[in-house]
Amino acid sequence: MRALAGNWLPSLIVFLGIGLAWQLATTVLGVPKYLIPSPESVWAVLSKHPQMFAANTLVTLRELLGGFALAVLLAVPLALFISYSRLFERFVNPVIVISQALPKVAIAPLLLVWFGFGEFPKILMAALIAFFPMLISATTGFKGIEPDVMSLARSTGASGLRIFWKIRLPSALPAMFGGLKLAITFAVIGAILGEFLSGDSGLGYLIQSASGAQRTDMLFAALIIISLVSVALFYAVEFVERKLIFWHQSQIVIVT
Amino acid sequence: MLMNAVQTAAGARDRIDPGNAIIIERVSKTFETRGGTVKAIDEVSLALRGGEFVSIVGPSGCGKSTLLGIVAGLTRPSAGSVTIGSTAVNGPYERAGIVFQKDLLMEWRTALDNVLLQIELRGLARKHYVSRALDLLAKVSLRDFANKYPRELSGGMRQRVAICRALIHDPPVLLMDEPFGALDALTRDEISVDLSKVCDETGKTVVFITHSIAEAVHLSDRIIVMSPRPATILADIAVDLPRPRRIEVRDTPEFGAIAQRVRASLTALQPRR
Repeated sequence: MRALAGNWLPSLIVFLGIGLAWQLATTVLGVPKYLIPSPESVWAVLSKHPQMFAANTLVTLRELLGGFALAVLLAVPLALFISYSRLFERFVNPVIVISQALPKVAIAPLLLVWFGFGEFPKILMAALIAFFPMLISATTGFKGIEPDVMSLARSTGASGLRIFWKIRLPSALPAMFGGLKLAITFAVIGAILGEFLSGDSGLGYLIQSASGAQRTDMLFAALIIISLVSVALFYAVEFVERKLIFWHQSQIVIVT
Repeated sequence: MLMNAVQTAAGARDRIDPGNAIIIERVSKTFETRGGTVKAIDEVSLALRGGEFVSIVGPSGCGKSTLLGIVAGLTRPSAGSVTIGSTAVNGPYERAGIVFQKDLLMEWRTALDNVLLQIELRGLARKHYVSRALDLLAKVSLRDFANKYPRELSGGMRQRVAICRALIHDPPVLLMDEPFGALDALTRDEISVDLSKVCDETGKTVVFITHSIAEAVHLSDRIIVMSPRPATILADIAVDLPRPRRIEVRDTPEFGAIAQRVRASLTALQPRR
């Protein structure tokens, strides 16, 4: 219990501090409302249109989770192929590096031309951004197996598939979770970015239109929801990580 | 010459089984590196009787581990052949248990599950081997640690688990590549006593690579001394000390005399300055 309080207390203090600074900026310093809305007005707009916010959050959530899933489903098998074959790696590496060097914002308009204005181009955008960290971490994980472990596995005559399930995959998990945590937060960015550029729903769209209408209260509300969604997703991945790789060094908590 | 080696193999233990004799015949290995061709092993021939415990000692990097890899079928020799029992080794030899210098335990498996990994990888029915795994763990004083994860075990305990993993499927051949190299001196002594217990009871053919002369003399029926690269056999020394050998055997004059012989043949090959 004490350990728990010890973990949460610092973040709680930071958030209270930020909230206080925000309140002071609007009341004491008198920053105009159209620049920084007061916490109350943000709360007011949130409580006035809960359904609208919920519906748009749901859209963004759907897009970013779709993109995240797509990125993971593409990156993990690709990483596996790369770790198995040096030759394959040589062929795909340039493509991967170039795809990463291209600014995603610059690709977005092209995605619109190709896939229209629905949710699909946003899913692609999220996937595109989340893909790279996932690929790198999964490759590191699959490659990080000690050669002697593979000798041991080969000496049993086990099939490649069995070695994968019993040894390769579990040993790669710690590195992969590093990538999953990056990928989930990157997917949020991707989805929002996609919504900025086109469409008529989602938190990114909300920010865009609020900005056009100078509704900073609504803009702030959307921002707060985005960061809450991001944080919640990050911790959700971390929760799964703790359950799944409780055995890894990174998971050993020293309680004093 | 080969047959001769088989017949003169010393340090007789009573369970001799020709089914797991190891014949290494004129094995050579060269590696291509950036700096050119390196000859690691040069026409090594060696015959181990079934049930014999043979140690290989030699300077670091002399190709001992490569030789072991070739016996295990994990490394292809450039020339020559290995036969175990009546089987020519081409590709991984599955009737062996291997122990490496690192324990290579899977951190997500308990000690028991690590021992049983061998069974699972072989596609055997796990449930038939659980009690045998627990017996093996008990033999190396780890019965109470069966459900602990590797990170909760000391280095010596982890290596004991690795030894059990190499023995769980009751392989006729046990190959050990400096298994105690990463352990401290006291732990090494303890664990080698455990190993000699396990091996005395089972009569496996054991190839044991080590840097420790005391360990080699303590455990072996025969000690092979190898030269620096390219590896050739310099001496083949019989260890005819009675079994079972407890740790105290190391204090006897007979033990000292054999250790002295091994050391002498090792130092004879030091480059003269």
